[in-house]
Order: sequence, then structure tokens, then C-alpha cells
Amino acid sequence: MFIQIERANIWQLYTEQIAKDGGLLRGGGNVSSAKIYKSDSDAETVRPADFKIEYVKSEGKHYVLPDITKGLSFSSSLQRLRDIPIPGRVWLLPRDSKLPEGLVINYKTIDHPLLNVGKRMSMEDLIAKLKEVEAMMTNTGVKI
Amino acid sequence: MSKHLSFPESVKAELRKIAGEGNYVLATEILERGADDELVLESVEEAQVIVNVARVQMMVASLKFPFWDEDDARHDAAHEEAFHEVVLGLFEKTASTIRQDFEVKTSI
Repeated sequence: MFIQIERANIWQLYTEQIAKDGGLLRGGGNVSSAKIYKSDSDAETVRPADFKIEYVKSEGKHYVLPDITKGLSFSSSLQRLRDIPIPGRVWLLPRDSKLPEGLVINYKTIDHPLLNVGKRMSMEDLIAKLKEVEAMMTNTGVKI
Repeated sequence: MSKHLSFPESVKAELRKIAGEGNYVLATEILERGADDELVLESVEEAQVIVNVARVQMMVASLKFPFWDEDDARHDAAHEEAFHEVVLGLFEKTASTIRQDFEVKTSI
């Protein structure tokens, strides 16, 4: 069963006991970026594996829809990223970071939080919010 | 008893294509089950078969794009992008989803 947490309650769940490495971690980054969105040649976008995306032909726009089973993968621990493993630089969303409005965390098992939208929004809006999230993140200096 | 796992439709389609083209007989049979956005697994052995398809793709990616690491003197940005597309897409989603319900080996 998947559970959704509103942005205001994230750090009440991911306490120092649950997320012992300072917050939520994401693997697969490089020195300069956590790579939480993609910059293709013609547009900035996200992976359909992470988000439910619909294309509205009449508007010529992509929208992102809430889906409690999906999201951008984070980890509650460094060890989990090493165990899988997820090669690349590890980035940290520090504890007490305030997610932008409209974003939530979904999870099935608490060690694998999924960052997603809590309401339908345009791809442009999501990318803008992900840029805000990325600006909050710090490079841990750890490489897997 | 069968376990039905929510699973990204795009990743299942990709796994099914790889399994079909590679004649991975058991993987193909497993991936034909259920809706497009779920995996239906009967046992830990079946779970490992699907994870193995993702592990093989990771190995193939590391062979095709060896210069993904920016600390490598021969670092190539195109290699990095292609390698991480496999890591953060097919591999991460398959390994993370299945290990939530089954004790499988995900390491390469």
C-alpha cells in the first residue's frame, strides 16, 4: 500500500532516527547537479517512469498528474543507495527543507520516498518547482 | 501466492521489449502477465529473473558507455547521459520496486 505525505509533514516522518544521513538522498548525480529533471535538446522534461504525464493536444502542452505509486526516487539512507547500487554522486535534500507548494512525498516502504505532484500541473510548473528543490540540495561529496 | 506490484508502464514496456528481443523465455512469460502498469510475480525466483534483466542492462550500459564518470580522464558527457538514463530509469525503478517485496540480488 502506498502512502502520501503532504510537504508540511515530511520531516515529521523522516526524523533523525529514520533518515540518519541528514535528510533525503538521491543518487545518480554528478558534481554540479542532482539531475532531478532532464534537459533534452528542445525542452526540459521528466521521465515517464517517475511521473504520470498527459499531453493535451489542443494546448500543445504536457501536464503532470498525481499518481501515488510514482515519483522521483530518493532514499532514506546512503547505505540503501550503495546496496542497490546507484552509481554517481549522491545529493542531499537537507532535513527541514521546505518543498515547493504542490509537491508531495509518496512511499510504499519508508526507505524509498518518491517526490511527486499532489495536484495536476503543467510540465513547465513542475520543472520550475524541481529547480527550486535542486537549489535546496547539496552535494554530499559521496560517489558510488 | 501471486504478488501484484505497481510498476511504471514505460519501464515494463522496455523490459518486455528487451526480453522479447533477447529471447529471455521466462522473463517474457512473466512480463506478459497483468496490466501494463503492474508486475505479477509468483515467487522470489521470478522476481530475480526480472531484476536480472535490469542488471544485464546495467552491465551493457557500463560496456557501451564506459566514460560516464566525470572523474575519468576520458569522460564523455554523451556517455554520462546515456549511462544514467539506464541507471535512473530502467535499473533503479526495477530494482527499487522489486526489492520492496522480495529479497533479490540487485548488485552488479
